[in-house]
Amino acid sequence: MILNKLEMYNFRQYIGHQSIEFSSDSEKNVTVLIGVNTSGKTTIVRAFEWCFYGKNAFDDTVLLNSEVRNNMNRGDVQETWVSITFVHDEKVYTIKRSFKYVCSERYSEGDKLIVNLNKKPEENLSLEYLQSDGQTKTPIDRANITESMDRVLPKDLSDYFFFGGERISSIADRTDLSKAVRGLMRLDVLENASNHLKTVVKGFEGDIDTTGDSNAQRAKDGLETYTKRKAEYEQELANYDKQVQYWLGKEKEYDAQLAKSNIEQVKKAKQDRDRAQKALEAEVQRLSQVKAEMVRAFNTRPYAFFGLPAIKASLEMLEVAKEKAGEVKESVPAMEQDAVDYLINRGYCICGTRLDPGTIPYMKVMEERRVLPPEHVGDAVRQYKDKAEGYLAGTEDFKDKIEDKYKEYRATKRRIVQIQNEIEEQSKFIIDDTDAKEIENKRRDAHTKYIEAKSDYDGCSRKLGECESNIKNCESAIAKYAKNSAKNQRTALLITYSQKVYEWLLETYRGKEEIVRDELQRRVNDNFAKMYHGERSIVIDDKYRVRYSDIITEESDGLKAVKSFAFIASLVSMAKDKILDEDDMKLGQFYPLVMDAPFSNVDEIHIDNICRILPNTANQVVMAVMQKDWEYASVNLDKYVGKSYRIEKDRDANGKEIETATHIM
Amino acid sequence: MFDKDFRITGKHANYWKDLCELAGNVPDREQHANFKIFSAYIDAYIVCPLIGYQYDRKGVIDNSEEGNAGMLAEVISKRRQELKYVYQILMLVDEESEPDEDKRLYRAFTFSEENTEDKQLIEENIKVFNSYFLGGLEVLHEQFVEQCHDDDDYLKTMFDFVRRFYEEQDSEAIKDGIEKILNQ
Repeated sequence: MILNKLEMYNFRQYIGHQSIEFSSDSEKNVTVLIGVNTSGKTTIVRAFEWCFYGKNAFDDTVLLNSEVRNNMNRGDVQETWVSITFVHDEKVYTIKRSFKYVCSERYSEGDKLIVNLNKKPEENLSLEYLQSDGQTKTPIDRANITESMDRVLPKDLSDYFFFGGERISSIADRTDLSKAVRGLMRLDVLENASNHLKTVVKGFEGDIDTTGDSNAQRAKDGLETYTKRKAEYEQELANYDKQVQYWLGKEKEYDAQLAKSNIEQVKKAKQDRDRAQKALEAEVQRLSQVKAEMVRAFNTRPYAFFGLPAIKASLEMLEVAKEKAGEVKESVPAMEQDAVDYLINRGYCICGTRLDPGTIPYMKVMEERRVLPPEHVGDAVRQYKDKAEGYLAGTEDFKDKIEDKYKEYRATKRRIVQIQNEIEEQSKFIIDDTDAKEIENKRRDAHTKYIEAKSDYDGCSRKLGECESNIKNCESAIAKYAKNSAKNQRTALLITYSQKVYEWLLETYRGKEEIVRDELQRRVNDNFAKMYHGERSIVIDDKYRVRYSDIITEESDGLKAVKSFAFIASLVSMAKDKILDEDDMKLGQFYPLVMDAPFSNVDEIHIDNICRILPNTANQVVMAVMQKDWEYASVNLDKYVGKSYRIEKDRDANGKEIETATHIM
Repeated sequence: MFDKDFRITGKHANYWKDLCELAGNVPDREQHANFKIFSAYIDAYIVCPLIGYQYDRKGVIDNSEEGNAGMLAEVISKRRQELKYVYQILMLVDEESEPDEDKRLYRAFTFSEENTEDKQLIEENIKVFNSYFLGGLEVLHEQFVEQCHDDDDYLKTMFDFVRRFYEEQDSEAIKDGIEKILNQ
């Protein structure tokens, strides 16, 4: 960041519009603002803080110029603002923050004038940058300004660059400077990245799901078993099929032989037997139908049959209860209390009306609930009877139906036996012929074998079907787990990558940090030696605190200030010299130094030394100094000064300075 | 009430399987391959409590043998009205679990689980219902599965069981009595 311009409007003691342009010349990089004590030097540093970060460090928090304020009448509006133009990453930015004050009352108390302003002024903030054409301005969304500023110069670090003389001595004494150093050297970028990667790795680890593995193995084992079994069944089935076909063929063959028989009696007997055989098949089918029908009859509301005695007892009991209860209050048919509770719980009625407790609709519904069972027996009896009637209807002949079906079952069974006997009879006729007898025996044998083979075939076919559906189940399970496992593999790969990048970042980070510490120690010592007259050496500890390596003696404020200067100058020069930059890693940054009365605690001889060093270490130096200090400083600094301003107050008719009307000349 | 999955374990689960057609995936199907007098679990669940009551038989879960059978809530909720009706009958007539007539009257018509007392009451009632269910399973298992060897036996037992019940209870007279009350 390099500062171009600061503008202020009615800001504190600075009346009207004030503008300071900062020197950005690479040789003459110093801008001085010279003023007497209380002239408003500190306000300049605070203008930066307020404009950049909204930090208001004044005791009296009203930022509007008092002169302007005193001239306001009730309802008047006045504005104060600060605007800063700066260059960052080769882009020109302008940030502007303003407060709009409204006068709420104005009155006099004795000879004192009181002007009160609305407590909370309306705040406006804008940040825009110039496109490379040098003309087009692009505003940054209001919500992102704070974040953007933090990226240009983090708020935490700002007091290393914008500070007053009274603060400088404490800088090098802070308990932990590591955050600031990392921030300034942009090591935090690496640190944040490696921390982020750590959480990324954690996240990936949580994504891995290993529960599927054992299931997948089981499914694989199952698939193997079933596939083997399927092949066996297929082989078996083919064998059975061969047998079925063989015996069927044999039976037909013998049938044909019998049909060819010349004996009329045999022929007729065979025809009769074929007819009987067909009839037998029909009856067998009928038999299984009747069985199913009988079970169905048994399953048709059996509770209305087996419950008859209990239903009667319950009805009688209710009749007596009804007599006792007397008058019957009418209620909605078939409604029960839990139905009302349901409506109340969901908050609205079936018609859509809201049922909020205390409202009339709610009370009406609750009134209905009170006449419902169990609270009112009278109507409960009616409801119960309705139900009983409904469930009993159509079951009066439960027993008869079962009886009928059973009789039909018996009859069918008898018919089957009859037909079987008939077939037996017919066979006897066939057996009368000796040749035919032998053929008939063979035919009967073939038929039996056929039935057996067919039964084996059907059984095997069923097992094969089961086996196939098991195979399908296993395959879909494997596919499902494979999907998980592919995901796991991918996640494991991602973890390895993240881990590697994390390690690489950490290594880089540690390496760079070491460079920073060594270099900082070298430079601080170097600068300190140049600024301080005595022989002292300095070490930087693990928290970047600055320590003397020799015995610790009581330090004067002046010595502390020199130490802090040495520290800041070294830090800024390291950032400027881009000591950490590599081909594809640009970490170096420019920072300006904006100081208010920096020499107030420093001996003259040290002022000399500091002034020799500062312009060379920082890219840009802005300092507000007292006239007397400047006389010492200018000896060494003058050749670096690119711009110079005076801070002056207006004088009244008597030549007395007016506190509230300061200008920058 | 009657809106959750229902499951029993032990001996009665096996009885239940012996009596009902088994749908879906039943690993021990082969052990219950006999003739079935009920088309589904739920059919047995609705009628058995009444049979248990009528034969004065209550059952308790007996885990001395392994068994496990149950129905999903959606199967139960489809037949919820019939279940509620059977439940109401039992709650009115079962003096053993509640001798006080007024209290039987109250419990038979309490379906609202709004307050904790009623909720507890309903829980107790369901326990009574289920113990008669187990009792009914025992009765039917003794009558059918333990006596019958083939389809013929089962069908004959079914016929006998219905006829015997009809005669023993003098159902003709009961039917007339019910009709009279309903027509009042």
